[in-house]
Amino acid sequence: MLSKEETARYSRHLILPGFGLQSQEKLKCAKVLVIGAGGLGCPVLLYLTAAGAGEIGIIDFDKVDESNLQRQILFSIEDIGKLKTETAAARLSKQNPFIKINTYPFRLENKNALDILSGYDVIIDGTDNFATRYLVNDACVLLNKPLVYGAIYKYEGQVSVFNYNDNSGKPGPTYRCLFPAPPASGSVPNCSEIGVLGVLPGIIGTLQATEAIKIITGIGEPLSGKLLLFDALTMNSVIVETERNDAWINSVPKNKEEFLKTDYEFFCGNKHTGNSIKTITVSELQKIIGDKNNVQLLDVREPGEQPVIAELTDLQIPLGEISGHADMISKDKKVIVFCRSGVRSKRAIELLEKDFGFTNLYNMDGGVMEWIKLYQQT
Amino acid sequence: MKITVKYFGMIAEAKGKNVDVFYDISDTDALWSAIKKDFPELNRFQFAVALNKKMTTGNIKLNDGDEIALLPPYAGG
Repeated sequence: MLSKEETARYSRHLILPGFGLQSQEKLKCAKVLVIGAGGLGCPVLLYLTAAGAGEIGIIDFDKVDESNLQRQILFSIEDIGKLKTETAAARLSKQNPFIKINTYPFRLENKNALDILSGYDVIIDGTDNFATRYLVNDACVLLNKPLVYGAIYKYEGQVSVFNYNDNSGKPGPTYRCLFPAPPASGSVPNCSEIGVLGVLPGIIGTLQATEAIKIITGIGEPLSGKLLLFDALTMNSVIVETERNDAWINSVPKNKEEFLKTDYEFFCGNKHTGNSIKTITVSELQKIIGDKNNVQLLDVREPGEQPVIAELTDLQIPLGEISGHADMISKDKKVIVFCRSGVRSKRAIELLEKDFGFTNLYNMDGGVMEWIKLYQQT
Repeated sequence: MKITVKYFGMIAEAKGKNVDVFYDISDTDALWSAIKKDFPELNRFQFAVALNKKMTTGNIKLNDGDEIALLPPYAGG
């Protein structure tokens, strides 16, 4: 039953042919979990809140950073440094006081995933890494929950609905039916490493919110068995039909015990031999940089990425292409690997050490930003 | 016999274009060899394959006018 205030608030839904009171009441009874309050999570949360989804869970361990504000439209400048979950909840409660919001300000892991997910009807994946995407997919398969998938890369996005039971109860494809195994670690960078058009997660996230509302209310046809591909540069969108692949679904853990034992970070190649990576500070580098016979500088940023530092210009191989060009990297010289802030270069070193046996790589602490701070103060 | 190949995401970036056309290719295995002749980097990528907008697996026979799409997974959110 909707209250008088709710009836006024949702009037455009209530008069919408094909939607009406029945759908609005289904929304009011629905429990939706949004995993990740980032680029995708923000628009999903805003629209599900506005639409009147009765109970919304938000899980994210992260705090608001200035660089989030370009696309994460729930946050303002005064939120920097605060928890995303709590900031989002405060903002959303003001937007719609008729819904309940639950926050989980910590990382989603095997040990908490099944407990948290089991309390919700629809799960929305707005994460930014493969390990969590496989973890969420497998948890949804085990718990028999529909999963609204969205993922972005620079100017392109993908949307689908996984593990959705149709009217006859037949389950649809899962994430593993499209991508049975994760790509090599470091070969697919995330937004913080390569950039993303700010409006893109807005588009993909609102598509995810749309799919969630369709699943809850039963209107239209959800994107189950279909993968939508969107390209912001051309505005082309394509829908590709997908199928359930039982052989690949077989690699989902069979039960809670198996799930708890699965190491998703390892599965996605994010764990290594345990050797810590060697680092070099920019001031140490400054002392040896002239010794070209013994020192090689490897820039793993994208071509054209700014700022270009003349003293650091030597070999450039973007992180995503590093495996194909590993033969260009010296195995004898001291190789200093760098990027903007030191995150991509660390991944490049992990990959080169693991797959190609390099032992002479040094991560430049703080990357180009640190170099500029010390040597090019303007 | 003409086969159109569409690249997405980082594959399109590495290849430097979104679309390619190949002629007289009998199946997808032959197509991968043809693509890798000029573009050995394809080996580095993991991708799903769609034939005429339908996901497929394994080696598939190709016919005139077929369209193949190479779809890598994205991590970003």
